[in-house]
Amino acid sequence: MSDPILSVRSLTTVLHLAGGKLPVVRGVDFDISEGETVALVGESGSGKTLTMLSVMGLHPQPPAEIVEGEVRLAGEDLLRATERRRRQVRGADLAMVYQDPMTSLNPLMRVGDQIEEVLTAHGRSNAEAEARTLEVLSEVGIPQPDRARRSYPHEFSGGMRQRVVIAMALALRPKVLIADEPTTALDVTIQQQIISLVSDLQDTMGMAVVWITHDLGVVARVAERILVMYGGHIVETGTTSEVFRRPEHPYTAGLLAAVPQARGDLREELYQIPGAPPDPSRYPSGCPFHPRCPNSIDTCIDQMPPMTVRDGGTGTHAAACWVPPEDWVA
Amino acid sequence: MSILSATDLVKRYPIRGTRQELTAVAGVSLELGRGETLGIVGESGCGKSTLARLLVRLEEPTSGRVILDGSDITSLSSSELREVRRRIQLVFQDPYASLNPRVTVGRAIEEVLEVHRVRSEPEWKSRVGELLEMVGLASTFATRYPHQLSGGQRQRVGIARALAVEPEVLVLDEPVSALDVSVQSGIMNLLGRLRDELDLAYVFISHDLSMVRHISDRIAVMYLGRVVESGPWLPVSDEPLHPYTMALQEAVPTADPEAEAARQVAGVVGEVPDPANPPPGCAFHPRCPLAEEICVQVLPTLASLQDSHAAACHIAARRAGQPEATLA
Repeated sequence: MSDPILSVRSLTTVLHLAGGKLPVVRGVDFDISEGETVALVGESGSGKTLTMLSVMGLHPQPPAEIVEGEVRLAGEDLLRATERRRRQVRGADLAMVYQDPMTSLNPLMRVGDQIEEVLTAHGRSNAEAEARTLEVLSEVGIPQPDRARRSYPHEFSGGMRQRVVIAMALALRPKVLIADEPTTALDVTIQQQIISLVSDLQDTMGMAVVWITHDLGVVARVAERILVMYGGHIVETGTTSEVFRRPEHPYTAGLLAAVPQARGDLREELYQIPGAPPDPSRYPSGCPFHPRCPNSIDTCIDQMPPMTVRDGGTGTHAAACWVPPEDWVA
Repeated sequence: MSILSATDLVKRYPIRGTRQELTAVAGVSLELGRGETLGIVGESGCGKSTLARLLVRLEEPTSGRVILDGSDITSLSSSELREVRRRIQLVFQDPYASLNPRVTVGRAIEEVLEVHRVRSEPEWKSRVGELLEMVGLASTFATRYPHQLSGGQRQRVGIARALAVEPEVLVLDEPVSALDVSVQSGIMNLLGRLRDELDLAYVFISHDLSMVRHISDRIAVMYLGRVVESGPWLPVSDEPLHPYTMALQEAVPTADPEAEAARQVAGVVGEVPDPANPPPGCAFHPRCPLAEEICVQVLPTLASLQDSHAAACHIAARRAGQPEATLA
């Protein structure tokens, strides 16, 4: 395998709150290869969004602070780079789109001007910026780009607005696109359009895409590899097919069993993970999943298990669990 | 006999500052048997939430009728409505919005008993405990405040409040959509169990076809204010007749990478049209891969095409050997 385009090691981000320091991202490691599609899966409070905001350098400061780790883009450690350099990288090499397109759009500015601003801030001339804006609006499937360019965000539907945001993120042809639940607020037929759009653009531009999502169906549809996050840690990683076929973390196994069948006449009681995902202010000790886990042993209560590659696999599949799947009771 | 039926329900809203009207529900008829679950699936703007509010008469229909156990609830006075609300209840997507943050869970349930004069005051406390246990919460939850609950626990409280009046019908509007995946399954299982134990009938409304097919006996698919397909859950979900349902089913990804890799998803073009300005003919025709001239001109009617499986589609009707509509 070639060197990863994005490499994250021991990333630890805390929130400074009145009550003290809250560790939300707790030593996260992962690599993204060029052109790869990876899903970062987690539920609310898992730390998945703050992880990727920290990678982007867009974590809200205060209250968030990266206290440890490395974020390397093509070998360069961004956490030790100047803010000026970080701004250069953002947009040009790393870009992010959010669930709510209005997070990235200024409601009072024509969308063309907003995209052009990104381009001129990265050294493109006005003429280049205008030409690229028209081109990228057309690449994301917005009809009549010349008219769209002169429109305001509110003049677009939700799906079209998300396309505008994707156009803005891709204006500089980044190497990595981070897509944070970009389809969650959209109808399924529009969600499918956005998924197809991003996959097509990925093929033509060759960028890597990290989908942040809670939807296992979306993961199965788009991702080659999966990172499962729970309680601030990556708890399982592997190719999508090996993780879905034989999950090695009880949380992943529970999530997969909790989803109703989308086809066929089998309708059984759904598997129910007891309890609810933990709040970052009250992450449990040891393995954060232990209070909900049917397979937990004493060790789980006070020791966080390391990521473990088990025998018989391809070496790409790892999980942070003290108990091997063959010893699970559920 | 049906416990709940709706006949040709229409709801139009005036558009402020204009003389135009927006038709949110454009003539929906449905039947719900005792103990039965009717799933209603559709995307935003299809009118499913307005329909929910019409069924429990939180909104007045522009025309059409809702019949609950033989009596027309669309013509009742507000005092008579209270009796109706004891028999049919609405559960919302976000119970947080309907819970007063300063009122304990126990008091919030008690209020319902008080307003509807269910049982006598001395029994309330123990009844609150019973209701909480019925929805899978310890009776000690009665002393907690809404902010001390997780999303799933709040939805359980929402369900407990709805059950307090001992209704026969629950209208559930996106009851699990705001919840985490690992919590959704618990609520779905709870709804299934309560239905069996209390012999409840449900109208289960969601944008999520996989949840709807999981719990429903029959499914109605809505698009732009109309039912475009309805029938038993399995054929509607897995062998749909209407091209919109086909598109919906195809767009829903399944948590199975092998199946997903094998699928070629064509997708459907365009977006849901503006309900204030619907297309002529079949409202789906601008997005439909099968559309012909007739679809642009003539609104198809919902017709039974096979074994109580109905669709409102000219092409599906022709394929089923039904007489064809003709151009004017």
